[in-house]
Amino acid sequence: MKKDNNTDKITRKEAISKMGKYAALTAVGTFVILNPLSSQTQSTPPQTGGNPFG
Amino acid sequence: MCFGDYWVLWYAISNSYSIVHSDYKQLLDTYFSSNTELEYASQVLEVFSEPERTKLLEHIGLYLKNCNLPYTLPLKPTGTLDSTKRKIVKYYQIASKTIKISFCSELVLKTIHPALAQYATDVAYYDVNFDIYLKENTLFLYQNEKLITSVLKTDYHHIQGKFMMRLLCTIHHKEEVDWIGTLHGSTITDGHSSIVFVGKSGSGKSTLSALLATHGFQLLADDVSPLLYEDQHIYYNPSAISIKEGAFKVLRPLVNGFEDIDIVNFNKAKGQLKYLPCSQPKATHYPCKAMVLVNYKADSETQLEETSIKVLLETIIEDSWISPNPIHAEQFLNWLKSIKLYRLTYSNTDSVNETVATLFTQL
Repeated sequence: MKKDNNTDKITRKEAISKMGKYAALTAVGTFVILNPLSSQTQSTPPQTGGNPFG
Repeated sequence: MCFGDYWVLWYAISNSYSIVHSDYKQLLDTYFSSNTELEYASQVLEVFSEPERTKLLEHIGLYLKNCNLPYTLPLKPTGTLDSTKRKIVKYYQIASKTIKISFCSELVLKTIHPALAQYATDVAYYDVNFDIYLKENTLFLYQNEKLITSVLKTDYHHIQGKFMMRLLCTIHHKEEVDWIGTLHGSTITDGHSSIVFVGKSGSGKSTLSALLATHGFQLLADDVSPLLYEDQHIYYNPSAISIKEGAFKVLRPLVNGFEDIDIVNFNKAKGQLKYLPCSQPKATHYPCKAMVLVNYKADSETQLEETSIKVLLETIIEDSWISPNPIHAEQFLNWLKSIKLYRLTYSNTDSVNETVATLFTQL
């Protein structure tokens, strides 16, 4: 956590207050984390059977 | 970076992209601007009860932990080329380069050759030399006798991807570090700008690209669309369009000589494939103005509607390679911000051509 100035704190507090409990709680449940591939690939072949290299 | 109701946050340590609602971003900002958890609790005091505050802090802690799982760079491989594996040798003339590829068997040849068959040539000199072979359970890729990567044979799509990256570097005179990423999608150009069509496997993006390529547009890249850092343009990928058996019926009357294109049986799960060669666009790269999520739906009306960054990123990120370099990640987000995002539902080929043509004029 880093320091911030008071004006900003009041603004944030007000913003959260304005947001309201329902919206804030809903927002908490709505995030995704996506990881790109770590190396280049062509389209991933299906995993269930059919792999030509078995 | 803000995209309407959503923020896309990039975490350097994990090279991950997180999409959060702007309200959650507000809660995160407040968390980071507080000196202590107690101070944070006081910031949200009016809104949450004590148990809710505790839960919120737990949630943020878990979220940040998941976003900061360290990213590990693939190890640099070492090895010595086994030249006895050079059983089948092919030469390809692509752009101004002649590429030599030695394969160890017909099966390994099928990982690369069908998509490049149109460039096969008889000349026996080369600018760049690749070796691709199977030894025990491992596939190896060498460029100019230097090991580039080795993977378990069942992960052969990594060899295909790495080979393509090296080929793109060769024909465009670039290095791997010059690319922001290779997006999982097919790109079409009208000669001025380009549109990337994305979708999960089987969504019809390659079929749509083939349809458009027979109606006055040109294919810039199928399946792997390379995005360069320097100009944020999509660059030409010489691979032919991979067409699945399910699309043969639609394309047969539209593509001259469709019946003469060889059928490739490689991955049984993917079924029969045909690789449709396309002519090279006039330029080797075009600015991309839009990303379109393709949704083929039988008997549907053609419908083009704006869509959210969340839907688009959920579709492409995990199937794309995006450089972990912070400068590239920032540029990728800037690029996303600069393009339009759509969802296209279609079944009728004439109608979808018209819709895409109109979209190009509006971009």
